Amino acid sequence: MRHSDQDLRTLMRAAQGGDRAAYRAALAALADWLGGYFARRIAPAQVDDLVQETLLSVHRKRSSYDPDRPFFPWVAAIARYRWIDALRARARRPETSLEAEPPVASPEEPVLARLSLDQLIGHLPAPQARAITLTKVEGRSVAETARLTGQSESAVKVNVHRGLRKLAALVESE
Amino acid sequence: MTERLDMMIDDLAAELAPQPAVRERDGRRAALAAALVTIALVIGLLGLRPQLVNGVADALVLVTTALFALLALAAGLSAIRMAQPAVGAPRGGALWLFVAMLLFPAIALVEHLVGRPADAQAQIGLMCLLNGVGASLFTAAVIVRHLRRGAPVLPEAAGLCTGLAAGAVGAVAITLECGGSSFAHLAFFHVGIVAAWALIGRLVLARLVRW
Repeated sequence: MRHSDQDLRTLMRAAQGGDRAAYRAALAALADWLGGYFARRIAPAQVDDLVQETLLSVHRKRSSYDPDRPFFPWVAAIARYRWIDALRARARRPETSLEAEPPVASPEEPVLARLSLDQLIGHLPAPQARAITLTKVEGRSVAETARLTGQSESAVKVNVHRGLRKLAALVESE
Repeated sequence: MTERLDMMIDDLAAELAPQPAVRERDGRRAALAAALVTIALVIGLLGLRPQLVNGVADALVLVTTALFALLALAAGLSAIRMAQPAVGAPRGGALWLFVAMLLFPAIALVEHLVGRPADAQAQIGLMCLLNGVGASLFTAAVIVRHLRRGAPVLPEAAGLCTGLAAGAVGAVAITLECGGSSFAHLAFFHVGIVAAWALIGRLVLARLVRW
């Protein structure tokens, strides 16, 4: 069941007063919403982990929600914050490849994720965009990417690293 | 929803304890109180600017003080607001005001370079700078405490705004106290307090409010 902003405001107001049933209902509704939110932004295999991390953040920082204000802008900001963290974590591991990730659950998810990612990658300089597309989206190795792009291996690593950092900054400034 | 997620939600709900919301108005009141205490303490300990004691209002000093106060207000409100996550919240006004204030030292530097050096009163200038940086600490601590109770999702911006607000409060206090009133003195040493805190905010406070 899809909850309205007003439903969740009411549930969170009750939760801040200590109502556990209301809190459980709010978190369950949030888990569903977050699943959809992250499905368009990150590799499907990572969605569950990110939903859990975000729910923990919501739990830890629930007092930062003011029930007099809309609920979804609050939770979307926290979700984006955790997403940026995930992007940064990937930027710190430029060697990581999607090859190691398990197969996706449904055919639409990677397409939507790719659409969202393509929009962001369009803002990067061409060498960074190409290096990220080949290593992070298509899952090629650094050596293979270097051969295909004519960049040295260390240039590929630097471009991936810088590109992912720039992506995180782009997302943050949205 | 997966079973793992379901269990986690049960656990989180089970450990729920009543927790009042962090209110923006509480943060605003605390920051305002910190600013007023800072200004009162500086004036109480170091005295009021002699011209003000004599009732002589120097236009440059008044304008500079007013600009610092505006910056403190704009940056302080932005920083406090950032304790509560929200997508699409407006920000950036304080930063532009700070950039505008950087015109002071830029113009003073140009004047110096073209051979019209103004007396920057460097002997008291360093003391102004150090006192101002020290005086800003209390306001910074109060805003950081509020931010840590909340959940700033733009920690770099929150740190920067906190630094700007705290530095501007320190600059107001020192401008009301110090006897230096030349353009170069105000530009280098008083705007310098804000610039120093902008750096501290961006580099140090941002780490303190990250969660």
